[in-house]
Amino acid sequence: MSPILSVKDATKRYSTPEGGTITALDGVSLDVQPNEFVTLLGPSGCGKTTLLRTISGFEDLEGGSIEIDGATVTHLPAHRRPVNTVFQRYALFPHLSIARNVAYSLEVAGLKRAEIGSRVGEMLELVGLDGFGDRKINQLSGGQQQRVALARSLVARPKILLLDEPLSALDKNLRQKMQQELKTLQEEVGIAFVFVTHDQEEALTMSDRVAVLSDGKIQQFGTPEDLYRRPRNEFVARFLGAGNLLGATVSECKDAGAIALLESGQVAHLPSTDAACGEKIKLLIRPEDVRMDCTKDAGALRFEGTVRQVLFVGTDYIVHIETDDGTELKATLRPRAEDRGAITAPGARITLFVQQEALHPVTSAKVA
Amino acid sequence: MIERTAIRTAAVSVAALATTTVAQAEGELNLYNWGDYINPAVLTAFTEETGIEVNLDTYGSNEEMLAKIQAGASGYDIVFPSVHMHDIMYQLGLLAKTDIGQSENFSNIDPQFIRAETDPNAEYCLPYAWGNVGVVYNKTKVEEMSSWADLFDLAASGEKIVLLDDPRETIGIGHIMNGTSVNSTDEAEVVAAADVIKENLENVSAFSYDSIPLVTSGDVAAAHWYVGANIFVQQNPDVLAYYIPSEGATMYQEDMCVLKDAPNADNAKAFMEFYLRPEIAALNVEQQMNGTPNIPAQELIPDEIAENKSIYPDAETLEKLQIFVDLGQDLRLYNREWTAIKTAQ
Amino acid sequence: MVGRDTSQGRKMLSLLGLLAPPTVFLGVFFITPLAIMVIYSFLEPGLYGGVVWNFYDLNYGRILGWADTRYEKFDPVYLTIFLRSVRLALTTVLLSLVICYPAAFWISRMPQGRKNFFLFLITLPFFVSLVVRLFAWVLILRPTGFLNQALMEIGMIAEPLNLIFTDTAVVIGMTYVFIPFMFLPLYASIEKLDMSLVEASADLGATRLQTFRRIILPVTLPGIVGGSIIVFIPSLGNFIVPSVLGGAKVMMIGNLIEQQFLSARNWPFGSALGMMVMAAVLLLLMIYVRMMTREEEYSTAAKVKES
Repeated sequence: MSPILSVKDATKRYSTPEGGTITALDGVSLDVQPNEFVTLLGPSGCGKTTLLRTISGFEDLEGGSIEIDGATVTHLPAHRRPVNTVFQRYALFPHLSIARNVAYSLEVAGLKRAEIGSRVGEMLELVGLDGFGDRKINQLSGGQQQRVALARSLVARPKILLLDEPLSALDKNLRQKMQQELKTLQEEVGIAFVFVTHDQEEALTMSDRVAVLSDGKIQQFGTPEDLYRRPRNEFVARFLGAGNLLGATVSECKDAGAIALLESGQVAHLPSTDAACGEKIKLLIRPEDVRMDCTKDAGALRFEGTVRQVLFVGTDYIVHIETDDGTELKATLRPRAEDRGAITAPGARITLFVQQEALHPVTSAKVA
Repeated sequence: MIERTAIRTAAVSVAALATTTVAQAEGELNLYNWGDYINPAVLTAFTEETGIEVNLDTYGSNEEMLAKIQAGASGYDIVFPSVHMHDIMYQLGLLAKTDIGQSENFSNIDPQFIRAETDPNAEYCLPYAWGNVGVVYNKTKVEEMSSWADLFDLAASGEKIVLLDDPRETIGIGHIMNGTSVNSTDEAEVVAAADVIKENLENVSAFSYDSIPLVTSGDVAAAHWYVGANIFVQQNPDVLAYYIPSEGATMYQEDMCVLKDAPNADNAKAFMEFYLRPEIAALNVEQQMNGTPNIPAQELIPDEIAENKSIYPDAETLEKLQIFVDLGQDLRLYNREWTAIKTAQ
Repeated sequence: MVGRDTSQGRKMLSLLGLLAPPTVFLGVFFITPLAIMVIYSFLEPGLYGGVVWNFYDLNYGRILGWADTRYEKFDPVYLTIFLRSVRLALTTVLLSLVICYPAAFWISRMPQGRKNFFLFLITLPFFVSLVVRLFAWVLILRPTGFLNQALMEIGMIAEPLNLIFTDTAVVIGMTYVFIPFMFLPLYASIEKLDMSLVEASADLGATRLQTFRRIILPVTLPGIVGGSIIVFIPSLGNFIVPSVLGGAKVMMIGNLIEQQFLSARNWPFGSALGMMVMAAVLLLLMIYVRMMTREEEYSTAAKVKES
């Protein structure tokens, strides 16, 4: 399957008022398949919005190229690209009615009135706003405005829909509802969505694939589970979800795996690693992989320590432990009823286990 | 009457308001005069001799002055109305009887200048100064000019000319060229006079009081202006010249009058007496370059002024100078025609 | 409920306290002179200015058609002058709009410091007397003036342009005088313009021209209309510019009114002419207010409701 969007080696610099330059995009390459929901994720200033704006045509690339559906659009102005954008604050036209907002792209394209009418009607129905066509923008709630923005961007049947943090202005409940709606909508219209967000949970929930950006580079591009379970480097590991990163040194490399020596002296068997022998690495342990009960796995890591802090979050307890050798460990535990008393008090002694399969080695180096 | 522009009126009135209220104590004299219409040296001399402090405010038109005086409590002692306004102010009961005509030095005044019909024995006002309204031109643009016809011929030849923005003065040119009186109230005569201006309108660049700098720079070849143009002729003798047109011209005269509600009536009378002195009248003329009705003063003024035929014309020319009288209701004929002129193009 | 009544009464009282000073101010300095003008326009003119207290409808008769006496004749010339003033004022509005619109765009996109500097420059002319500035324009526009000399120097013209004392000079002068009045309301609405609307329009396939016509123009319309009205009204009644730069050959309604109050000594007719101008302006303002109430409905729309 050939990609609907193909960004190759995209580079973009800004000059700062002080005379310096900021590299917003540093050789970014990205392929998006038709019908794929891809999220660009990263902290603010990582280049994700710039990347989106170069795809939509609001920013020019300094180097590299962009292809949409096999056609190069690198130097095409925004209005001639077969993509549409949903803006962070929607950018709905305040002087036009809802129907006229939705009809805008069809009107400027010079379509016949009857066709515009029927397509706008379909679109409003799709986003659940049929009957709202004559209303003014300011008569709508935030969620409704969001839907108008979606309808307006989809009515021209773009090949890709770009979404620039469209949910950030909504409160938490509405945001979760809209996340589902967006996902459903994407499946219904069957086109590629490229979605920008700094909210990792949002990215993981909605996306087929996520590109994590930092310093103008893609640190990792993969499925949410890939990113969560097998982050390529420390940055990705830290950015997506909570985790414990324990320092270790690769001591032995074999074809089938490697052996790493933890700072605490424990030995860990790793399934595989890119790291060279003798390299210092980090071992990622997700809090939910820390267990209270001993397993059959003989190679499981064992930590003995003292409970420092306990947060009760409903089903689970988030427990911070200081092990006897001074390592801090965070664990999401769901203790059996009889064990609860043992862990819920700070100062209690506790023994925890981590299976070897739950260990994931990451390098500290970022993609450069 | 060097400056008559209505625009400056506003600024001047504000200044006037600010100063008049203060100046009413003993030992003061408040003059309300046309802008640049008295030699400041005269006022200094008066103060030096009498110790009376003189305050001077200025106005730009008779009507502006009248409105201010009619409003009451102006605080002014002396005003300088034109002769026809002198009559009007007398009829409105705004003037104080001064018996200046009885003063010892009044014999200095040429009796023909006691012009106001309502004041034949100079019981109220003192004839102050007079002048004519003729043409100033740029000698580098045109060789020699001597008549109104020359002015309009010059305009027709493609050079720019400027006429005064004053309905009676400008329609007056038409009257003079038609041989009718500048005070005519015959509708047909007024229309015919206005038609003279309308016929030449295409070649008239502007109606303005501020034409002297434009004539000096050569942007305008000639302009309808007051005898005071001689001041500028003196400064630029190679460029400018002023003449009284041979067909005749209008003249003006202002009288010095004390107001009925003058706060310093005695000082005002003293100033009138002071001004009757030939050397004082001459001092004024020296700077103003206009005419004085004071006969012995004419002996004292510099020769280049006394011998300037455009300031002191010979008897034959003097015959052809007409002075405006108040027209009452009939002023509207002139205003109507004036509006018609301004929209005729 | 007693408690509620007293608190409402207190609210009324404080409202009254707040509204009374401006009401009194407007009453004294706006309504009174206006009332005087209305009354004077129906009185007989006094011989030497002022009024005679007799009802007199010929002031309006002269303008609108029923006066026919020796002194009071209907003349269409007054309406002609009025229409000419409207034409010159509209030209001024158009010209200042064409100059200010791009300038406001340009300045509104500057960094803050430079923006403030340029805004200061726009208001700078107010520090110098208007009459002085207009006489400076005489020096610029006259045949031997700066503009003609400069154009001849660079060979664009062979003969000096005939600018001074023409309609063109009046329009140039009025445009110059009223540019700040056009600029500020325009700037206010252009600065508020959300650039993401422009991007959204381009994104949806609109060309630059379509974006301008369909989005930028309608969204900044309140500023355009506001600026136009603020420029149109004083242009219509202006008399200084036509008398200085138009050489009084270009008579506008303001000059006619000024003449009635001064040299013509006909205050009632001047008042009647003034009422005519005011009627025209009021009509315009009513149209504006009606337009604005419609605008109001979506003026806050761009803001996203947070809940």
